[in-house]
Amino acid sequence: MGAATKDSMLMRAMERAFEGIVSLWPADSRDWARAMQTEFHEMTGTRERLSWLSGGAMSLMAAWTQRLVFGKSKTAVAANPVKKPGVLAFALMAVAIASLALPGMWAGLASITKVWTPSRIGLPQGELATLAREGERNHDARLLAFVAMFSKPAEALRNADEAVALDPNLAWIYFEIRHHWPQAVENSETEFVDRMRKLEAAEPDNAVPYLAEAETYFEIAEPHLSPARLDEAAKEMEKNPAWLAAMQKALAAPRYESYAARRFDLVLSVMRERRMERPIDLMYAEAATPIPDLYNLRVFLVSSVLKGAETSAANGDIRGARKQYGDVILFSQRMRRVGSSSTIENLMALEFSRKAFESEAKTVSGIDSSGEAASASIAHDEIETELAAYRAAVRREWTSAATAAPSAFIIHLCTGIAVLFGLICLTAFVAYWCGLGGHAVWGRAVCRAARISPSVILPTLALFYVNYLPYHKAFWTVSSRDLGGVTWQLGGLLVQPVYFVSMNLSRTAIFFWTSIILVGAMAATLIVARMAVRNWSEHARA
Amino acid sequence: MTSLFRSSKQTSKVLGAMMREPANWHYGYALALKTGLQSGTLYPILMRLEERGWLETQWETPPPGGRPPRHMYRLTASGRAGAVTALAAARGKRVLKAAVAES
Repeated sequence: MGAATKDSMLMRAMERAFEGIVSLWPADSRDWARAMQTEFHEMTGTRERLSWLSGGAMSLMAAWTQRLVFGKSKTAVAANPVKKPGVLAFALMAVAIASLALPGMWAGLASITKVWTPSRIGLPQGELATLAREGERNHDARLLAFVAMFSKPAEALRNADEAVALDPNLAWIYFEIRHHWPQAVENSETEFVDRMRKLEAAEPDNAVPYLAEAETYFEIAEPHLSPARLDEAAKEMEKNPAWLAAMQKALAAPRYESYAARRFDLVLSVMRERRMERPIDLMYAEAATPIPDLYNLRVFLVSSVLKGAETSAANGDIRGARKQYGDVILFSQRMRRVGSSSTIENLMALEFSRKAFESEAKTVSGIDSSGEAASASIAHDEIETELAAYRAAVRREWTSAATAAPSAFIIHLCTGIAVLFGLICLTAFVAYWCGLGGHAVWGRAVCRAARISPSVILPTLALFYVNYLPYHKAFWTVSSRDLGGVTWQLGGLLVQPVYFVSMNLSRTAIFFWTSIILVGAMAATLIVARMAVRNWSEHARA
Repeated sequence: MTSLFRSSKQTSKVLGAMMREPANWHYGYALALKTGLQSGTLYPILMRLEERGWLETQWETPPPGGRPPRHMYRLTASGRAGAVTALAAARGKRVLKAAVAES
């Protein structure tokens, strides 16, 4: 290849490189790049041209530094003045703000932001104090009971006492705030047992108050008991006559109600009456519903009653043994009443039934009693089948909540975008009115933000509302008759994105920051792409 | 009114080259040859001078046949006044440095 050919190839390469420099130059000062390019053709030597080309690359960096730090050149600014937000931007913003008045819109946005900051779950103490004062003034027992469930320990006990004094039928509220007891009062066990006795007197046919009393004694002994040695735990507790008496009353009580439905109805009715659409607080209040201590129940039913039945059977007292098996089975059936018991209570009740039928089948199979062994065995098999079906149903519920996650993800993402652009818009308007509108760099950024934000916020809010509307409707139609179904759906869909993104980690802040990073990355990509497209299109026009 | 402008050695060279023929238009390549500055130094200086209003620019019209029009530069009135001040200050610095070096 001759020297002339090499030179012409090099020349063409350098010309292409200079064209590249011109195309990358900021549009508002591109004339300088073209100026350097035309001078390039005045040179003859290759070395001279290479030096000029490298100078062009350095000037390109200087031009962009100038542009990013100081903004567009004054001549460019004079030729292309700052575009301020027009009537359309203000109109879109007005429509976006007005849309907050749509039913459920503001409540939905507030609920989602609450999910991101778990410390804000629950009602603010100021609001609770206002409600408590109103309850006292109007002698509203239900309102005071509602406040008791959300209050801090000392206030919870005081509000509960006031509510029960006004309406003794609300004595069940003591069971609902029992987790506060250790912090609320000294000698909390005695205070709690006294209040449980009131509840037992009000509802002598319900097993739960007796269980709650027995748990007090159990919790005192629990630190010395081993969870793995249930039989030893049972022997230890049987030495406490108060515990034994309370548990036997619970076993004999014709009804089992852990107040989940009453709690839900009270919270929901007070919220609806006061137009407090707080689905997250409702879900968390529901999730925090206390249930009897299942470890205590297991120790009594399995290691005390069933073991006792087996001992009776071994001693020849078949009738006594079968009565005890029957007591456990009946108790389990009461525990499983659909609509009033939680998933874990239902599962444990099925397990107790299964053990009782299994033990009974073994006992009866050893005696010559036609049909009885077979029927016990059949009942045991039926319970096994029912237990498996219930576990499958619970798994299906979890799965259906997971498949609904994309809808919940859209709700969370739209909230993140709306909040972010709302803050940008507000900052832009404040900055503009503070006089930053005339600044070379910040004025343009401020005006651009104020122009773009309404166009982003309005469709985002529309998408949010379309996805959130079913949950808004669910809040106003849900009832305690379907506690397991609808409330799980509401809670699962609002909280699910936590697990969708954070892989079973429970910190909702992870999801919040993930959505912020996603939104930020999208915004940065859009801005860079827009700058690149504008640069190339202006270069192509030139 | 000419504001206080602290010019670098390179900027002084450019101003000095243009002040030799203040009424004439100058080409970029010619300025590079007169000042001995590389294009990567010269053009940012010219851009800054234009931003300050000391430099006016125009494209060659009509462009001579066969090649694209070249960009030309000339100091404005405020540019000439500013250049006088800047060059005087630069000269004074050199004298002072020389005096210090001799002593």
